Amino acid sequence: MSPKIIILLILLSFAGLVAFLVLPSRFDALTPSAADIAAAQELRPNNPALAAIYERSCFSCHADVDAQAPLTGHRAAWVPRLKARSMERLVASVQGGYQAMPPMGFCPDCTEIEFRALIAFMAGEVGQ
Amino acid sequence: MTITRRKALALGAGAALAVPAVQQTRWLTKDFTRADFDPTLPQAPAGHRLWRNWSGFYTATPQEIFSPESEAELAEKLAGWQGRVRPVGSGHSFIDLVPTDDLMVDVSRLSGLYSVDVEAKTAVFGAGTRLRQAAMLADAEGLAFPNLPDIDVQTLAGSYATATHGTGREMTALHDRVLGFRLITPAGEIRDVTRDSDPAFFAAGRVSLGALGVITQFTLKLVDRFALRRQVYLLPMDETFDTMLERARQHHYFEFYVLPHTGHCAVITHDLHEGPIEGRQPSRDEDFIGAFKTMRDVLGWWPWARRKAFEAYVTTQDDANGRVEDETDISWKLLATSRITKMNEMEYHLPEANGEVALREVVAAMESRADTFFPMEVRFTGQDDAWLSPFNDGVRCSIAVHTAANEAYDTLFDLAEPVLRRHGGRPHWGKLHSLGAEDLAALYPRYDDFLALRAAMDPTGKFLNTRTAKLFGQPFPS
Repeated sequence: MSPKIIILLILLSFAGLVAFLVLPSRFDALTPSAADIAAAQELRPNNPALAAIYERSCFSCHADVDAQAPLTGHRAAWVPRLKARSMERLVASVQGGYQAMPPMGFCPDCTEIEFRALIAFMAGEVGQ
Repeated sequence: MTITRRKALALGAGAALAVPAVQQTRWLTKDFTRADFDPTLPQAPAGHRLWRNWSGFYTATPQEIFSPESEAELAEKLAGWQGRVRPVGSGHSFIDLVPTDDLMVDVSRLSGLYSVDVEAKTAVFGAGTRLRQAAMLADAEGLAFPNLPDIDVQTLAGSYATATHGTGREMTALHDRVLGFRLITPAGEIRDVTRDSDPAFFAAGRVSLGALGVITQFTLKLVDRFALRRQVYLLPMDETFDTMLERARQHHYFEFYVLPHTGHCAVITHDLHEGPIEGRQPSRDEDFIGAFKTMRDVLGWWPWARRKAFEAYVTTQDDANGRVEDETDISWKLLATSRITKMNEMEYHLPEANGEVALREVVAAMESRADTFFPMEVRFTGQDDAWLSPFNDGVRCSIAVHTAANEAYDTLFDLAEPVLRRHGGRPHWGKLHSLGAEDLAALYPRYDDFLALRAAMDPTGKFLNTRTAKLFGQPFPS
């Protein structure tokens, strides 16, 4: 094997390594579809007061697929969270901050009841 | 013992393999987490609240985070409050403009589109409206913000207060769209300010670090809704640096990320688009950042291999021009992106003519360290006339350097900042820097005027904290 071919193979294996590293990390059922992404931008709570809080506090991240927060209305992302961590722990995560979400999730004035209602709405439970 | 030629070759080959093996092993055992990194949140004293900025670099336990429902409620609160006060937006500043043990004022309830004049393209927004929400509300009226920063969760108040900007040498920073604002003074008085009603206060207030009071609403000049075509290229570093000024003139919005130790830049252009909109695909930025970190973690000791690995990857991309993204959408959906990987950031705005030379020096300095991997961002912003706007003397080229939030940040202060300052840079008000009042007075012709106005508005220093006191040359605690 000539040195040229060896170098070429090494470079190709490097390229393969980088290509593998930059592959999107989400290729599973949790990956939202284009319809999920579009729906997240449109959904609002029925309750006007809750809708106002949602728009000023939650919308920026939970309606933006690139924020990597569970998308509003994307039940495939929310149901496992609710099952694994329970509503109480999700509320505690908002209050204490979780990953990119600051303590109180951009809503320092929100009550625990409002956080519960917002999570239930984002998790796809209709009629909040 | 005699060393034969064969033995010598065998020893040489063994050494040639052993040295990299040792270096590789040593590198793989490195822990890049800085010694003082502590992700746990402090316990707030009884009755106090907990606050943390986005990067997690600063925390505070204020006595109260006050979210007024109305301007009257806020005015009453400020008039009666005897301690310190700091306004807070979304907590996206990397520097400690906000922390206080006393009263934090959160204006996020004062948000939304209050009124709009579609004909005149003007709109009144609550100061707590986040940029993404504001852009969406404007869009529903057929209007748009002509420019947006690369993230859009900040409030209008926070972004204007720190001279937050997007990119585009014909585009001005966000605060330049302000036609007027309403401010509650430290004494609790309500003032409406426009360029005509109070030119000095207007020039001082648009970029004022939350030092003159709490701004509750803005009247903004918008433009008609528009669509953009976004293209992203992976180009060699030298080619990018050689053509950066030319490209900045060619495109409405031009920016690039220098990808350290790869020999490449990710060049992003946005230009006006007419015709069908295809919609934006989910961003791959986070996947790339993860890849750069892994390449650092695995191959960091061997810069040649790191560079060749990325060069080889680039050759696998289909587009002969190095283009890796090409998409169209409404402006606000393309201009801003989300940042997930937490980092610490320093950004200086340099006279455009110094940009290329400074950038080459900064890149060389950052690449002198094998552990750097975070992309550096380069943008351009046009001139405006606010007293504390870093862009008030002409087009400036902004160079931003980053480190992962849990890693050492000495490279920012020790390697990048001296270069950026030497080339006439002014620091981003919301990002890390080490400057004090004397340094800033030398950079801003109207700095003393701003300080005088601040002292008149807040004679007791109610709106000071440790950082703003340093910036304004005030003793703290006074």
